[in-house]
Amino acid sequence: MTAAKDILVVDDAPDILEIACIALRDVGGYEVRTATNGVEALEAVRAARPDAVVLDVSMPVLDGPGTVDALREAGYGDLPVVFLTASARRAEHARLLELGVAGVLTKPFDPMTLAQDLARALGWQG
Amino acid sequence: MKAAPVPEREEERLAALRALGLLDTDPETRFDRITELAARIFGVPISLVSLVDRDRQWFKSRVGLGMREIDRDISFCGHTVAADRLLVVADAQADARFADNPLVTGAPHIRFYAGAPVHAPASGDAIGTLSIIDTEPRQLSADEEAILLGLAALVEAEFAVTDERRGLWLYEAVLRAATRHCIFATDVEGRIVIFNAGAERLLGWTADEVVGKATPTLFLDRDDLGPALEQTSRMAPVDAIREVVGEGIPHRLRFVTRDGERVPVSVTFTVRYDRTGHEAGLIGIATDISEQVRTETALASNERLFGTILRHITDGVIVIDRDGILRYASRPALRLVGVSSAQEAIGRSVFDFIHPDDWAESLAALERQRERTGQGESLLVRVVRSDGELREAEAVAYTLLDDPVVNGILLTVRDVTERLQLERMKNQFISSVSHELRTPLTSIKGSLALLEGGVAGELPERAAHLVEIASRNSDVLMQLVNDILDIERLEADAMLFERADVPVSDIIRQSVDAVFGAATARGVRIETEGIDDTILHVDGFRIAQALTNLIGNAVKFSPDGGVVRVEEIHEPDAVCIAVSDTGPGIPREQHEKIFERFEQVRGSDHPSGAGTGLGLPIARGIVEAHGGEISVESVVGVGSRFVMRLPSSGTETMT
Repeated sequence: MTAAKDILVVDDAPDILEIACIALRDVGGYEVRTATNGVEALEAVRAARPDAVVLDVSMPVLDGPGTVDALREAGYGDLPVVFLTASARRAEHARLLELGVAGVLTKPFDPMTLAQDLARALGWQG
Repeated sequence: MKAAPVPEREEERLAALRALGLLDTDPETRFDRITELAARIFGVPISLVSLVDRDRQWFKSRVGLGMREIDRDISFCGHTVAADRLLVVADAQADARFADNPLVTGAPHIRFYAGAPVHAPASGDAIGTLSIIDTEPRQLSADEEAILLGLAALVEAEFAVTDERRGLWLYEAVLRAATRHCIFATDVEGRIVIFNAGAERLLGWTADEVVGKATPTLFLDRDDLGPALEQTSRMAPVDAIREVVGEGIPHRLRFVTRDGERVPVSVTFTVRYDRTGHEAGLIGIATDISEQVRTETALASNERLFGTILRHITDGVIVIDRDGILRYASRPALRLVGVSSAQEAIGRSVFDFIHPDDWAESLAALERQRERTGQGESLLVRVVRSDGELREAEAVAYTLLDDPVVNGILLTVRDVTERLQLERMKNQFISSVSHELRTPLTSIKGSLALLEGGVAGELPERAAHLVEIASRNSDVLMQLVNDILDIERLEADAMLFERADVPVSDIIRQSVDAVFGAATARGVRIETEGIDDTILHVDGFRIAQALTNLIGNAVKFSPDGGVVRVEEIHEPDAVCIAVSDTGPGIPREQHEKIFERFEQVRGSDHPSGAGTGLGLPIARGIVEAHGGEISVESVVGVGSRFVMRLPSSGTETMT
């Protein structure tokens, strides 16, 4: 049995962060760390490289797209990122995908299926 | 016997004879005096003033003859008139022209005849004779000839008097007949000499009261002409009038009637001349123009009224011609474009005041006005004020190109800059509030889902039931937030539609899938029919959202275990998707109402829970933005059928 994957979840809303944590840890069985903005996320990645990052789009200090750029500049360009956006608009999804991320998931999410949806977006299934 | 030849100017001669108006009139002393004189001077039994008519010779005056007329064929005077000179027949029996004339062979047994022609006053045509007749042959000395010609000249003088009287009579007849026109004339001193029935009627004085006694200053309004008349008081009246009002030019004055009432008139003065060509006075012809003045006053006051209204209503009014050139702009319209006077704006193109980015759309609107297909169309344009400031204006256009008065395109314009700003703020506010609601709702939904999922351990039965209620209501709340955002976007025309070629079957499948859970939970079956691979160029996500709302409603109002039918129907230029249920149906009077915001039929007491009341308005908004429509047929107690109709082509109304 391989070690559980390590997921970094970044969101400025603590309640959502907690629910996402439970959804991925308790329901999905992943190792989960959290950050509340892009700067914290970058520090966490430097401290220990996760297997994937789940990233909110609008955050203070450093937002989602800014974090993607920062990660790339810091040499983590191959680190898979999945956006978690409140926008349902496909144009917005397309814009986010153009940033070179692995996938886009929408809020509100179903915590019982979040881990599965994430695995599907990252191609970890099967 | 030889009849007299026909004179050269016979028709003119006869016309002059008729114009004199003496034929068939009673005998008159003035002529009889001359014939009696002739009979005495020459010592003859018969003397006549004859008028030679077309077929007869008629006697205006006769001495010694019973007949009133004789045939022209046997007339002696016919010869005199034809020759137009003195004719003397010394012995008729010895003259071949008259020897067998019945007047010679029988009564009155003429032997001697002498006739001098008499002429019409104006034309000079010989129209008759003065003649003397005897029953014995005789000669006429040169003196006697001169006397006869002199007497004939007296007859002609009487003709001239007749002519003048007749002219005067005609003149008076005209004056009498012209009761609608006030006609008066003065002599050189200005005294009134003619005052017709029209003048009597208009001014209230009788001719007897003014003729020979007053001057026109009697009824000229001193307020109108006073100072001018004073200045010219030493002039001859003819010159004074000429100086003050001019000659032959219609003038608007006021006449004062006998009762002191002032009547507006249009009056023309002309100088009249006597026979010798000298100024004889003035003729004035006046018409009562009270009615006209009343109409004009009404028009002028209407004009003032409309001018005042146009200045004070908030909306500006502009009239442009078919090329967009400004022909009229009310004051508020001028304020909107930042121009201080109409002169600065009139004649300029309306496009001078429109932001270049809005030209294409404005030009298309103008074209529609020209084609008369855009009646009442409203257009939002950015107005570039003359100081460069941008304002947002709403223009409503009405084509009045066929209207003879306007003959242009009427635009009412309103500055909506502040209103739009407020609207944008309101939309932004609603949008951000709704957005802010989503974050806590996401947490609530997430937490409840985790509880229901047993993440916090198995829930006691009562707790599970309460969590289920909370979960269901948080779903409704989330739907409400999403719907409010959508309806605001639709109403602000701010919903972005991403059109692509989408199979209708995909849209239907997506929508059926979305309500599948709810349907299954109540045993409602969804049947589809006529589904094929037709492609529509639409925003598939939004059309599916609209269809989901329709199918969702159908499921909600179906009885448990009922059937909802979804059919695809093809029309020549449209694709229809019909959703039918066997629910309670919708009363006729509510068919329109259900498409309004927060209007629900039976929603509140429906066992399967309240909807947001925005599903149908959103569905209609989305479909109409695609150039389509949603209609409803329903029979209470039988069911309802909603039909979404989408044009197969046509992207015109897409934004």
